[in-house]
Amino acid sequence: MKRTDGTRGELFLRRESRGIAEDLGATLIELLGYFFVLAIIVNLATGVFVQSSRLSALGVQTLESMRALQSIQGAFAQAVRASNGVAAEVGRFRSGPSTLVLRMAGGGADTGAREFIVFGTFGGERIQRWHVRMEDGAEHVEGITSYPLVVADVRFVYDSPYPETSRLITMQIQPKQAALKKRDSQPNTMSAAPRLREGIFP
Amino acid sequence: MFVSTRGKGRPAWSRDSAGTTHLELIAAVFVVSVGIFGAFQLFRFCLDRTAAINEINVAVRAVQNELETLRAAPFDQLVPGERGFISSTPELDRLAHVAARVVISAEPEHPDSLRRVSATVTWIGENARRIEKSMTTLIGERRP
Repeated sequence: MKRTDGTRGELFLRRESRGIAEDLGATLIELLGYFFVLAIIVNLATGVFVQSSRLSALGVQTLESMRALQSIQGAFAQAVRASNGVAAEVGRFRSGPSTLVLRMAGGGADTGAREFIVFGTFGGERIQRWHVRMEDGAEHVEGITSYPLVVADVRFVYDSPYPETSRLITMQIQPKQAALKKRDSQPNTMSAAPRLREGIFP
Repeated sequence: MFVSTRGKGRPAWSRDSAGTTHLELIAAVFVVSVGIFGAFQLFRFCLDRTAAINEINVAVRAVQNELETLRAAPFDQLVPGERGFISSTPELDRLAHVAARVVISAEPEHPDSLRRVSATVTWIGENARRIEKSMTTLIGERRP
């Protein structure tokens, strides 16, 4: 439409204004389209977020489990290396597949006191390290350390039929998390040899 | 004053900016796809890293177990040469194409009473990369 005079120009302006007004906003179909696209994007984003959270939890759990295993391995190796070997028993503890009693070097040679480190779960779900001092036939518990790893099974393997003559001690740990998921079915194995043995080495 | 009257009673700027073009849509889909694929790549990377850390832990533990086993063995069993592991670390089977070997050599200064022992575990890790973990220690003859 061409503008030719004032009267027609005014008419044109009104029509144009109406045309602009008609273009503003969105139709119902457009809105539905927007919502549909938005729903897909929100769905994808939520999926990614949920997966990220799960992955993060899995990663943290795995790393904590590995750290706990390293901590146990460090404590076990350090105690075994510093020991004089395995003691058959001390107080209420007896060396066997579920318990390890280590006779520690030193102690109170002048007072007759002997020190022992005992590893085991003692019926619980966590590995514990007991520091026991025997003096005058009495048992004194100097300290207990519990390691932050829930285990399904802990086993001590000796390279000799009698634990007290063994030269190599192996601890096998089956974390409960791995046992439940039926993956990593092999236990985590850690070996250590006493460095200060007395009289058994050839 | 109005100048343009292209189209059916609709100004040019209004008609041109309404809706989205194909190009804009493709660009938007591309950006969203890049974001989503990036997130999935991140998942994969995290899982691979966790698995790699686990593998390294297992390998290092196997090497330590072997050294401890050799340390507990009588000294005359430490014959110089190269051979496989004598210790048992069952979880080593989790590693792909794993190979374990021990190299024992006599120390030149004390050939009869001192051994240099190197234990090595080699396996194929992520991206078919060959990974090796090794430890070396000296073991001396224990004398009464």
